Amino acid sequence: MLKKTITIIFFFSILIALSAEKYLHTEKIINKAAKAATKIWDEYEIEIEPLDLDQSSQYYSSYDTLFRIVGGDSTLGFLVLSSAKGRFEMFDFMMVYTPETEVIDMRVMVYRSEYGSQVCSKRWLKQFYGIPSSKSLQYGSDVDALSGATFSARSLTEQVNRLNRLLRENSNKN
Amino acid sequence: MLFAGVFSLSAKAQDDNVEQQNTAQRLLVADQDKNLVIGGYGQIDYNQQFGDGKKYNGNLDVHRFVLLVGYHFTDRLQVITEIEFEHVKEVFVEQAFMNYRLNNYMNLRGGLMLIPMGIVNEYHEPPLFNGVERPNVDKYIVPTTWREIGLGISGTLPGPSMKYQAYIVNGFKGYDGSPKFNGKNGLRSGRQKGAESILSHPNLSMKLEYFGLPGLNVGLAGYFGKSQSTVYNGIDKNDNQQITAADSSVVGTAMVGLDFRYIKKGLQLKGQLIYNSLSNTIQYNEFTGSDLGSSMIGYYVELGYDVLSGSGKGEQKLVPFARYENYNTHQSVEGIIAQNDAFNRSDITVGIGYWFTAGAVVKADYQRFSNAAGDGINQFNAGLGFMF
Repeated sequence: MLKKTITIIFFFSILIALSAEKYLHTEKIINKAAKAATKIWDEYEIEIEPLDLDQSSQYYSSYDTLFRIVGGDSTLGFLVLSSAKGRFEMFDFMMVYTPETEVIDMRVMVYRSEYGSQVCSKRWLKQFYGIPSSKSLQYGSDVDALSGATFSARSLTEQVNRLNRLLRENSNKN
Repeated sequence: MLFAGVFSLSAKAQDDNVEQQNTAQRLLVADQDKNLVIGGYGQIDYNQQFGDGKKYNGNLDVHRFVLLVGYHFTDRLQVITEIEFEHVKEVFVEQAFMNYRLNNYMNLRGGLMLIPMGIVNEYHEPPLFNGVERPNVDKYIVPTTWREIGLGISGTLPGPSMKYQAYIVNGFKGYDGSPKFNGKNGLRSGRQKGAESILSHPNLSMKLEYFGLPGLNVGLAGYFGKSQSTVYNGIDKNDNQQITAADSSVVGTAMVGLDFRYIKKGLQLKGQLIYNSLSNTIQYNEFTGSDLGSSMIGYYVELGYDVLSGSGKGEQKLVPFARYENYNTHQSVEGIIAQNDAFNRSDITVGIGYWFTAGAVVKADYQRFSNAAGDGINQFNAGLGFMF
């Protein structure tokens, strides 16, 4: 029985290994995030334009990339990519905002550690949807605590607070 | 059309907007300047037994101090090591494994790894549990910190909110000229911890966790296999008599564990139930002269409340808690062994912890240890715990 299980696990792993991409490009992740954004506005042909960020802002970090999502000559929303720290490792996430800077989609794109990977839960991330970016969120009260992923979940909440402010500072620029 | 966004971005990247491109390049690639990860945890304890009209000396102990060193070779390949000092003078390697991230859903892992069973074996850093000492279910039934050398897969599925682990690992050493298992401590002394460990039967360890409901994490773990024995080494493959004798020096293990953690605002609720069914114990006890039970069971439930929750104090926590545990390493016995009521134990722990921040805590608690044979001990504990 054990031999069979070993064989199954082994072949399953090989199969996944072969189908997995060799390595992830930054650009590839941006494309992936952009693709997710295009699905939201599938009636438009959309473009994403990087926002020129004010790097002297206290809310700016070098991990941030903000895009304006444009379709039919108007701003449809914003795409934000950044990274947060888990207990040991950085993990990358994306958020899609409305023009009024409310989150409408959020995903963890790359999670590098086994520790605290519960933070990828789509259901947990949905808590951030629809909350006005002017509101400062408190982990454990505004945002449900996440058993087994305290460090990652708290850090992500703080990053969302920071990125909300950064986006508001930059959303009116061209 | 789906790719409209993609193409327009690529066009931008070709622009001479070099600064933007550089920022984007830095993003999402594991922090290149921080390939080396250093962390650690420790606990410094004071234990004082008291009561029954006798004087007892207290114990002051740097119970554990563990240094974690990790390194990213690439964005996908990392190594994690933990060096542990127990009671200052005993040195162990607590973990040493390599992890290869195939994608967001699957990792390949090999080396000295923690066995996923119950809560504390994997989440054993002092700021992650209430009480100065780890629960005793996680000592006698799950032999924390339980780790063996092996390989397997792990991963997280964000859609269904599930996490899985499946490993082939080396098992307990049950016999090496003298028995390693007994009635009181169960399998605890059989842990090989990756130190010149012997292998005669690979074991299977699996865990599935579900975290889709807010604040809740539920785990179901299984561990199956046989113990290892030195008697097999060098015997004739065709000598059935010798092989039968060697077979008497191993036991079969089928351990199943259910655990849950729930957090809602200040409320913390935790519990686990572990059942271990052992086979071949008649032969094992006859061969070795031990008194190992044929099944063991243990459970605990714990209730805590963070009174600082929602008070805007950030990471600070003040958590009074109470825990009830029952664990019986002689849940059932076979053959001539008599069931020992002293191995049917219950602990009550009541205490408080103050977290300065998520990684630093001071704790104090009172424990009452009793057993079905009618003996009891009182103990006061105080301690410092940290992780970084």
